[in-house]
Amino acid sequence: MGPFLGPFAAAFLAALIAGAALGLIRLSRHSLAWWRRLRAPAMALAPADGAAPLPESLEPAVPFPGVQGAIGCAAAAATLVTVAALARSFGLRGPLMPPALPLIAPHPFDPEAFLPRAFGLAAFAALALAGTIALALITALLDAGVTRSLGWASARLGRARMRGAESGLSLADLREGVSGLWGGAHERQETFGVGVAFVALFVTPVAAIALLACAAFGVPAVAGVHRPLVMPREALLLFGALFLAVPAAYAAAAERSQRDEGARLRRRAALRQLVAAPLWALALVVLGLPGEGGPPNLVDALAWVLLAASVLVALPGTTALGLLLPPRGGDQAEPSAALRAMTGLAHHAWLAAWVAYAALALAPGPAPLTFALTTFGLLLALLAARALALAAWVRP
Amino acid sequence: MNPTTGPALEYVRALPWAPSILAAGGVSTLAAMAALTRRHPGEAGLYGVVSASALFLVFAEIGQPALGVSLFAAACGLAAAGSLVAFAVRAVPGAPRLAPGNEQRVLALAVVGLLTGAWLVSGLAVDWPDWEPGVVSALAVALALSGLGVFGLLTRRHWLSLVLAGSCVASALTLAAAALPDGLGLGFAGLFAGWNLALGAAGLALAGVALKRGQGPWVDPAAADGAETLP
Repeated sequence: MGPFLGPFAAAFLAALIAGAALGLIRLSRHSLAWWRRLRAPAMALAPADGAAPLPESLEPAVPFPGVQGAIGCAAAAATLVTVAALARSFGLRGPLMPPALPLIAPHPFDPEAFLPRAFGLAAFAALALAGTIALALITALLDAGVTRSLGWASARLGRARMRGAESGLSLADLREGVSGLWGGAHERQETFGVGVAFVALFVTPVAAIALLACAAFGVPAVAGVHRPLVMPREALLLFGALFLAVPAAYAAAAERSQRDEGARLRRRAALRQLVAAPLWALALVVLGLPGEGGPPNLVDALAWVLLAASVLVALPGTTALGLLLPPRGGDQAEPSAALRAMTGLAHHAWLAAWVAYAALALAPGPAPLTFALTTFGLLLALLAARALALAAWVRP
Repeated sequence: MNPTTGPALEYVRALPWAPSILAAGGVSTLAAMAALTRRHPGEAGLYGVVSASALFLVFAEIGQPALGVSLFAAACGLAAAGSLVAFAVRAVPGAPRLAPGNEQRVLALAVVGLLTGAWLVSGLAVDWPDWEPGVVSALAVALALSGLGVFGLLTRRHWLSLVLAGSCVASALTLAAAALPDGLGLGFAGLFAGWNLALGAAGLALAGVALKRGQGPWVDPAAADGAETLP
């Protein structure tokens, strides 16, 4: 089949270019009336033939061309992940990937082996969920501590004041959100699509932390699989792809939002995360390159800095501050306590997941204590960096 | 002679199936179906991401997780950018909500013919019972997904749904190529995965231009699903 690949690739590329060109030509030809209406100010604001005008509350003042940049950023990030994945898949970079173990069940299917494996996977999923919530709570506590300490220090020095210093995850929101979920006697404030989007947002860090656990400790329910704390390069790809689902969730929530303010903030969050996406994807690709096995070089150091900065910007959360300022999580503008709690949990869980990933990559080895200490140190450094980035410097 | 479906069913039942692949593939197909039938691009994109995540499991089962990751990343990018396109187009005043023409249906018929011919010619020439369970099951999932994608191309009216349907077909082709034994179709699988990404980006750009210029509907009115508009 090898000799046919080139002609097929050329044919598909030609089809793609032809389709895009034909589409543009057709759109240009058929849209003359639209352009005429657009040029006539009085007519442009009038509803078109038989079309109902859009509700006022659904018309955010958003310039349209900005979305093409978002498409470009999403395509760039997905392309980087795809290129890295294909390079690994075809052995273009590094050794060819070994055949992976079937995740669900080995072939041929054995009904007797299925039940223990299914129970093992279900237990692992429950552990991953509980571990994610626990990690998010610990990270939120550390976050509050670091913010308070830096706020106290900056007040003493009188040279900086903290912006957006409210807690990213409050216990009151958690309690109210849980009681609302269990009680069910709460007013419907959002559409079904918004709920799906925020559930998806919460699922992404759970999957990421489960992936890290698999990478570090082996695939669950496969007897005898225990590996040292080393992050395999293949897991990087899925980790990055999962993080790319965060802007998708925010964009979907914005698109289905029924409140102007909520839609605007969620769209800003999605745009901010998409702008940062190519940067962290590039850093991941650089860090995923096979190294010589020696000490980290300058390129690696720059990639780590780029990764830290872009991840802080791309974390879940809305902010009314500058577009590219890192959020603090726990979207305070949301009227629903459950959404505030969910976004706060997702924000801090992703923060913990990235730090754990970095610790696995920077301190590989079989020592859990080294891993824990590295994780703690990196988390404190990242939280302090974010607090300093959010500080508004003032003249004494 | 008494015609009956018994031998055909027995033949299908006796094929070497891999239930894990069929289960994950079934979830993927159902999620793709939900994506193609949603009226709102945001929800459709999210269901597409769910479908791609289940498809990743299928790829992992056949030993090609990296290809599954690439499709998952493309689905995430498509969902995010598609939602933003739909969101932004709301701000364009006066764009008419007209149904698009039948060009895509003609195109879909051509695709249906091409795919049916390809599947028939290749399917009839294969001695299926001798193949590996993973290959047979993955090809069955690919067939279901491609059928669903073509169905979407034939029936969907929303531009962004058409992009999703095209992505569904490209994912199915990637899976079918990757599932072939002895790595026969790996080159084609990579090609289809890259094509899926390019198709999504080009489709979204075209959909954005089309929606902006009034060629087709963008989203249904918010009140249509019974949701109340809050102040």
